[in-house]
Amino acid sequence: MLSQASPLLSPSEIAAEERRWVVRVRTGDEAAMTLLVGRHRRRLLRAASNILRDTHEAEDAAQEAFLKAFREIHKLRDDKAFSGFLYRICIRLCMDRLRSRKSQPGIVEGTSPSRGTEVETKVVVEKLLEKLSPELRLTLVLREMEQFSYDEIAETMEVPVGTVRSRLHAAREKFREYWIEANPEAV
Amino acid sequence: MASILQRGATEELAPPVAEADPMMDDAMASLRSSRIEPESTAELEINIMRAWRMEDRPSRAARWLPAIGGAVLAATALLVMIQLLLSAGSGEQMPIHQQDAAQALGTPDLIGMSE
Repeated sequence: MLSQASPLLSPSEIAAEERRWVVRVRTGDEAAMTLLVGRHRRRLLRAASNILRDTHEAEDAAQEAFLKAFREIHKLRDDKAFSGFLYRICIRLCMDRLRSRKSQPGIVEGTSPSRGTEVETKVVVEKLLEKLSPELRLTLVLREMEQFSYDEIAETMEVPVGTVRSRLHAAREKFREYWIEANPEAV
Repeated sequence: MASILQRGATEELAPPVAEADPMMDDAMASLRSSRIEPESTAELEINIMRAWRMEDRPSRAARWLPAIGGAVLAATALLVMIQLLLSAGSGEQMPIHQQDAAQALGTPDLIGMSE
């Protein structure tokens, strides 16, 4: 579901292949671990980067997530559910990192992202995202940047789909409010 | 007929539901445009596997620890058993040996075995 698509295999073949790798990982097969890392690293790293807005920290989180997933593979009941299991671990690690960060109120006054450069927009967006709570920020990033479905977000964050909807609504509203605050001339 | 009514009803309802919010669109567009696309190199894969091996080394040793402990215990028990068997076996001939040893060394027979 969350894995990177292979151009040569059908989705069912990809799932079957992954299941075989997971079975091998349970026996400590390092070659199978490498295959799983190769399949998921890109999307996992991108998701972590967009959540944390720091590629170095995201690499650490992704690495930690893979290691934890392999270490706790015995906790995975269904071999088909590895990608969800891995993303859940990674998201939880990112959440912990976000929570442990000291709150830094963003200085966004006087910037004009609508007219500014791409880099300036990125800086403003990062500051606005920092103002959101970890839960709202995560939901917004997974939906808007990572294009996760509601079901995928619910599975990853281990919350009901209704909670995802309400969080997403709140996150969009708050982000919009902060966006207007940062761009009073744009209203 | 029903479908036309339904369509009409949907069309009537559609505008307020899909009310355009340019500021929201603008904010979401800026959010999407700020997406980070990190370069995923094989280095990450190498680092993960290296870390796994480092982490797995003590656990691998720990996995073998009970077996090693068991083997050591079994070997010790076996040695003790062999020694006991040997001493028990030699115990039957002890009087003769002790006599011989005592005679050879010229030591006095304290327990009176030579009598």
